Amino acid sequence: MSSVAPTTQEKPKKGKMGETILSVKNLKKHFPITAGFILQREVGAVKAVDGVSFDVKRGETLGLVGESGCGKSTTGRTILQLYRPTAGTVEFEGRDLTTLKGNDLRQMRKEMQIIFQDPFASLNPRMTVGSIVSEPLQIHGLYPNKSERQEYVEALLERVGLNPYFINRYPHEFSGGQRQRIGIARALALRPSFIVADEPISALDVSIQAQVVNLMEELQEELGLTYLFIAHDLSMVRHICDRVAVMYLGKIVELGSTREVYDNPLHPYTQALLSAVPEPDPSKEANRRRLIIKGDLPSPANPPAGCNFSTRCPVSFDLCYQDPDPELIEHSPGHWAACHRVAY
Amino acid sequence: MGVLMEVKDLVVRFYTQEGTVYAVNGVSYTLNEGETLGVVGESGSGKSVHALAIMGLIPQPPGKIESGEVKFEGRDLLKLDKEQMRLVRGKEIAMIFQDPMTSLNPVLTIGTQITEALKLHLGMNNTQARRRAAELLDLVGIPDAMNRLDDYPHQFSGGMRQRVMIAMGLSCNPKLLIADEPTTALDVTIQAQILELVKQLKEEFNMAMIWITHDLGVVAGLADNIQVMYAGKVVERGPTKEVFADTRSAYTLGLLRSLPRLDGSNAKLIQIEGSPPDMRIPPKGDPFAPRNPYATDRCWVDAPVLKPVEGGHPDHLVAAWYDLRAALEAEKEAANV
Ligand SMILES: Nc1ncnc2c1ncn2[C@@H]1O[C@H](COP(=O)(O)OP(=O)(O)OP(=O)(O)O)[C@@H](O)[C@H]1O
Ligand code: SF4
Ligand SMILES: [Mg+2]
Repeated sequence: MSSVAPTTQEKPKKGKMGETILSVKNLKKHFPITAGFILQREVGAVKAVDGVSFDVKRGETLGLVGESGCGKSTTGRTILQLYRPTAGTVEFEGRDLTTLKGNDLRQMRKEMQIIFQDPFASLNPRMTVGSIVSEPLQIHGLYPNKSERQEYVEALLERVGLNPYFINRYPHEFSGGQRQRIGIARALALRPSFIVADEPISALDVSIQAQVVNLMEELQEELGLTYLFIAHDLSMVRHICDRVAVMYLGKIVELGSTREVYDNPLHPYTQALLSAVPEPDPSKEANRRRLIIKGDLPSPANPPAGCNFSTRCPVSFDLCYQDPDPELIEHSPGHWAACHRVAY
Repeated sequence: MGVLMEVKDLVVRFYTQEGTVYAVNGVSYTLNEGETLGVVGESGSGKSVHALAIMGLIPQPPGKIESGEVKFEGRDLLKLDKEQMRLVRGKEIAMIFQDPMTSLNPVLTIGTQITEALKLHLGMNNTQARRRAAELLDLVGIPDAMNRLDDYPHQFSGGMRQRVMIAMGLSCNPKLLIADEPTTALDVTIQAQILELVKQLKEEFNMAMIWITHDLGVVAGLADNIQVMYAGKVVERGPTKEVFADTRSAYTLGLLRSLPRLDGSNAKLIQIEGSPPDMRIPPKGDPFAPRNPYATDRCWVDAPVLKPVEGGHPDHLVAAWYDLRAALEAEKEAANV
């Protein structure tokens, strides 16, 4: 571990571990679908996120899992106000971000950063590593002294496992794993307390994924970070997350401690999802009974009436096809599911 | 089971502006009739390029097959001309890709694309071909198959398109199906559907299969044999169970140890240090040596060849100068002292 780690200059973190740092209530993000050539009119909406509520505790990692298009990324971005929500509130350290604008929002943003999936697309190819990592500092007017800034950036690079000697190189000179480290260094530059990691390892080679995950875990421990970890790799989510929220078509269908959800999944979709994961163990695979669900994900522009999962659910019954859709109910302490079958 | 295909010392390079890419550096193996071989490796390990070479699909230039043989039922495919190879492709050997859109023509209906192969290879007339095409779509689980023949690729979802590709691949009853990460872009519930379908069809069609993937989980439940590739070489090969339970390559072991498990059983992920190799540097010694904690002096200078493992299954091969089993034993003893 590096001796010049930015932790030495770390301000004392306000707030206690375990208290609620983020509270999302009934969050919605609908993207309008428009038609017409000259006069664009709205003909519908993609309900990418459709009424999502959860809390995140300081110092924990909450996983957000689900299949492509279920609204995971949109949820992450709407929380950070990179998209403005259609409805709902996002309270971060007690302040509702959805009502903040301008400088107030900018100040709050220092505390919240994002790491993207694709380290190839998310770094500006024309900027050196040094300027990529220090850009947020300049935006917020931190480290105005150039040599101090450089020293800090070098310490950051070293902390994420990059040779500070490479500070003047360009992204294309680095491998995928190294680029993701650059993305992490940049996200850490402002010493945030909360990080949305949107599929941070899915674009990486298998042999590199563990490196990045181990680094993220170390940094969390050291800096008291809180993560929202968006992923579709369920094994990795079990490994890194304390709690997990399962999303389907814009809604959370199950939420609980990782152990509870994986060992005792309540929602039929969670059950199917877990049973679909192939495991690197031939004897397990040979004895495995897969719960194969039929069909494809419906379009979020046109979700089915009643339960969103009713078109594919192996245990649906008449109530499932009628509105209102099942509510997210706490079935045992901290373990929530939205399914009529579980409720009765 | 007889031998279906024999790949011998295949070497493929690409001559690009950034230099020579040493993509496949001497790959040899035998594939039996009806065998499912899982080829595992990371991006850039040469697994796709080796398959494209078998299919005669390496763009030349910049690619060049420097040496080797691909004996398929006795004939060397690398010696066939374009026209002869076109007759092999689709009929004898079919291939499906990660992104079906790269091999489906967006402006032709699905029906036209499937019937084309049936007419070319099996000499069917239009009516026969359409009937067979509908049967195939039905077989891969596309509802309302007869009517969907007149739809275009974009009218299908990702999972459905992959089913269409599989239907096309199977259309002429090939002896070998090569699948290059066909489920990587799909969601896990859709991947599970496709894997289930493929297992079923393999029985029905009695064909051999090469399944290329970076996901050790996918091949664990699918393949009879596994071949692990690194830097354009095969580092380990053997019956699936052996490769997982009696792992002999440090790279395979590294991959297995770095993977989290669904039941949460490996609490600490043991990472492989370093980065994947730069394929523009000519291979020297064991390409994994710089990342291998068990490497010996010899690994740095001398390229190991695939040899049967000591005291293991006779079909289990490893390319290594170090003795992984002994090294692990020693580690265990040291931990107990
Ligand atoms: N800017 C946008 N305009 C219109 N629709 C959008 C936009 N961004 C996302 N969507 C749609 O919203 C839905 C949810 O998308 P989102 O990217 O949040 O899913 P995701 O769960 O992150 O998926 P993935 O696993 O593929 O990353 C999808 O149907 C997507 O096509
Ligand atoms: S509410 Fe009905 S359709 Fe929805 S998951 Fe439960 S049983 Fe299935
Ligand atoms: Mg996403």
